[in-house]
Amino acid sequence: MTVTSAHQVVVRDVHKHFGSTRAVDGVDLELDLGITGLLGPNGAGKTTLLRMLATVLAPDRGELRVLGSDPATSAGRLEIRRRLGYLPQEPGYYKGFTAFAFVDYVAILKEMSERRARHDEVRRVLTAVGLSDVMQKPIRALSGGMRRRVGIAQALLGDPDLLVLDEPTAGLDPEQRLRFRELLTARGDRTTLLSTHQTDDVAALCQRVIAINHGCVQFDGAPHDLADLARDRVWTATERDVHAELAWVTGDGLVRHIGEPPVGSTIVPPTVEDGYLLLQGQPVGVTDVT
Amino acid sequence: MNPWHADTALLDRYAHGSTDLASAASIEEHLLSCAECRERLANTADIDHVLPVGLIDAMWNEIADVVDRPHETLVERILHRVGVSESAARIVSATPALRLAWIGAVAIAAAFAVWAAYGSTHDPIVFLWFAPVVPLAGVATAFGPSIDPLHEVALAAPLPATRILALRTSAVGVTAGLILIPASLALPGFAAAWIMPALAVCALALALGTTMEAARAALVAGGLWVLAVPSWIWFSTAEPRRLAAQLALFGPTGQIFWVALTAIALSVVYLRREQFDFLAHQPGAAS
Repeated sequence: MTVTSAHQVVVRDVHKHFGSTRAVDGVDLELDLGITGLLGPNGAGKTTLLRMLATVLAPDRGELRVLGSDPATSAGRLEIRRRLGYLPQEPGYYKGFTAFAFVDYVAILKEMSERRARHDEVRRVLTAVGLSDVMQKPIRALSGGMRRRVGIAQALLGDPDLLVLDEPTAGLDPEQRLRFRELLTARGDRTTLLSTHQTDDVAALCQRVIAINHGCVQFDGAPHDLADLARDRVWTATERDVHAELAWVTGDGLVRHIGEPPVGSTIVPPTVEDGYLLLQGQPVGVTDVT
Repeated sequence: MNPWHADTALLDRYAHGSTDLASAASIEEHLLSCAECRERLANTADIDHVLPVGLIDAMWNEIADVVDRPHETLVERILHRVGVSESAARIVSATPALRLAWIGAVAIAAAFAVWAAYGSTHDPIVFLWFAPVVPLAGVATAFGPSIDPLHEVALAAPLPATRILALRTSAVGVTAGLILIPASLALPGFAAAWIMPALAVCALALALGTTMEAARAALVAGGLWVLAVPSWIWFSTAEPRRLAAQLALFGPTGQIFWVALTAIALSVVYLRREQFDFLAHQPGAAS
């Protein structure tokens, strides 16, 4: 391994193919302390990249360094896994388990063998995600949002140095999303990487945003820099302008446009979503093809 | 109105836990009905003197722990009883698929045991043919995304994947063995002849499991075995063919072959053990 760095995560020219599909196609990036959001349409390579950082998938080519260790070696993987919290995109559940039993089981896999200390930690993480009242309910009786929070809770076990979360806010209602933001912010000097489709999550939560598509990094910077991509290029009007690159009707009945504004149009401040849409070249809903 | 009140010295001794049990019971009875003494006690007692700092928290934690503690399944309790650690017992009993396999394997093994003990026609080759398939259920249901809903979470956890695999495989294997071994004692001359083929088939499934999902690997290995015995009988030139096949597959030469196959397969498992550590060969890895 030639990569040596003070960064928490280093990705160097990493490739991962599945048959003829290039899921990750030459990604380079470094992560430091703080919360980074990974944006991208479905099939962009987010999950594959997160799986490689979570050590459950090996790259075909390229170099990785996670928390100072090399995931290509079994000793390195063990070292990383002891300091990692991971929420897969679709974590399964043992249907007969209660929320408590489920998180307790993951705690066992995380080598927490002392029962009392483990149970205290399970209670802590379930309380942190707001599930203290339902921890004795069977998982099958919980709503989708609650199950998602059970998944987040297991990732928080042991207060990991690196948290890798694949679409953690999917299925959460606005209040739960707010609570989730507080939870991540309270982690302080730790590294969190989360993937999302929600540009407002990125705007509210992340110090940094990485947009990927077709397995390549398209944008890497602060959320306001992503919004700035669309500066002076977003305008609203009562009628749809056919020359705009993108146009959609907003809740207030106005048509929001992205592109080259005609003279005299009402320029509005861009949002992270505007910048992201401009980057994608089309609305998220249209790019969601897989 | 209560005409009698506890004296201050007595209350003080009670607050510090230095009264005898009879006096304490008497004071408590009185306190239940006397608000004035309760108030005096509250003023007298410095709660930190009465109960060591943290004791109440510790007591509450103890209660919470008893309430929250996950319910132990029957399988877990049995494993616990025979000395398996709490963690290992939970890992073994966690997946519903594994529990089903266990019950299935035990049922088949038990049926064979009854058949071997009381059956009227003891043709050993039927037993020897099917017995190795029983512990294979352990390999089939030990690992992989289609068996274990928590497969990906488990992979990212520090507990080695190979340990989970070994624990679950051996749990079914040992149980099946415990039932099959006594049953096979009823087969004169061939009592232990099925054990090496069983180990070889399981080892082969594990070796195949480094390139495909465990359930499919077990199906392939089991299928090969199930076909091998009748094929041998079919193609055997010596007469009687069943006896010739029996001697060839389960006799000394056959046993040496199964030992060799087990050794080779386990070497493959050892050399390729890192494959169990990744999703790489699992379906659904692409996304």
